[in-house]
Amino acid sequence: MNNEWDDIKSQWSKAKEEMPAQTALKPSELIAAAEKRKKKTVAAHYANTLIMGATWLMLIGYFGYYTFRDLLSNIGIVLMVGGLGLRIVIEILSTIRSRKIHVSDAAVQSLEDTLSFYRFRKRIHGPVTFLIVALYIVGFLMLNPELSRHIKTQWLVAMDLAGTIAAVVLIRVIGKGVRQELRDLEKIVEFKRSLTE
Amino acid sequence: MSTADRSVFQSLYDQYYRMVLSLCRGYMKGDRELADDLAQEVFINVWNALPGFRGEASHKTWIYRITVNTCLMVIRKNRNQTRMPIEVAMQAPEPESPQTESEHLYGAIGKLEEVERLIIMMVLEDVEYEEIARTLGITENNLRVKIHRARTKLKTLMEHEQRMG
Repeated sequence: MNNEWDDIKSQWSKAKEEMPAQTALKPSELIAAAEKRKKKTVAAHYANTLIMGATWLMLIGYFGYYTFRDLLSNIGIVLMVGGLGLRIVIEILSTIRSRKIHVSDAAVQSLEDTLSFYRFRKRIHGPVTFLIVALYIVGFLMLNPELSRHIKTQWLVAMDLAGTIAAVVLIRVIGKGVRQELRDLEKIVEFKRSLTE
Repeated sequence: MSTADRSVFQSLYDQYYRMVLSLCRGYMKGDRELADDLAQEVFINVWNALPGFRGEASHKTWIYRITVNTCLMVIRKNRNQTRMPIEVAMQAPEPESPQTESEHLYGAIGKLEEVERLIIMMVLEDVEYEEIARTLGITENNLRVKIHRARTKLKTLMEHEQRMG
């Protein structure tokens, strides 16, 4: 039995000797690629939050300038703006949590931190994101009675239809993302179980 | 990042590239291109993690940890890849062209579960059990049980690969 194992080890060593001493990229190019990746990740996080923040401020400015008179309309505005504000807070929390995962930790620790992150996303991101979409839809519909007094019916119907299509597409995209993350979560659980059991 | 960091990175790369590539090749079932991409990914992570290195572990253990975690993250991304149970894998059709010894080896390693794959490759690298346990964050007793299982499976798979090849 030990001879078989020694053969396997010998094959492994031989295969390793046949390997190139370096990758296609030189170390300096790897460093450049690493720096580029880091900047891209940071930029993506900040850009996402900034775009949502700017949209939030624009909405507040717009609805502050063009005041709606009906109570129903104002409740609708609060729902829409509040929903977006909630989304921004969750996005920031998600980014903070993702930074707790360290690739240089022991595997069990890294997997545990990743699990914690994915569980957060499962608990908060998925359900709350659907809630926020619902807030947008309900909030927008609440504007309809007052808007109908100022906009022709066919334009209002067109707006509602466009909004409905956008909402359906958004829900499908979010749902797909949530399902993929659940599959990732299952895989991480499996890895952790393989290590700790 | 300073010149000293670049110098450390160069040194780590020179010392450990082949070891990392070897693990990545085994993990990616012998696929050279995927292994090369994965090894590059490991060293990108090494560079980004370098400022956080405090010397609690040796550089070697640290690199192993990054390699293991990078490999596991890649598998998470390859959602459509499924691994067959060993019994089904052993009934797979013969390859069209004769395979080299290393292809047999990588083929056999590739049929192990992801965590077993990583463990057995570190054993093949002659990494001490204590160091493997530290890399993975498990006890040495737990590790020994896993190594025993993985070795037994690998021998069975190697016999099958050699019969088919």
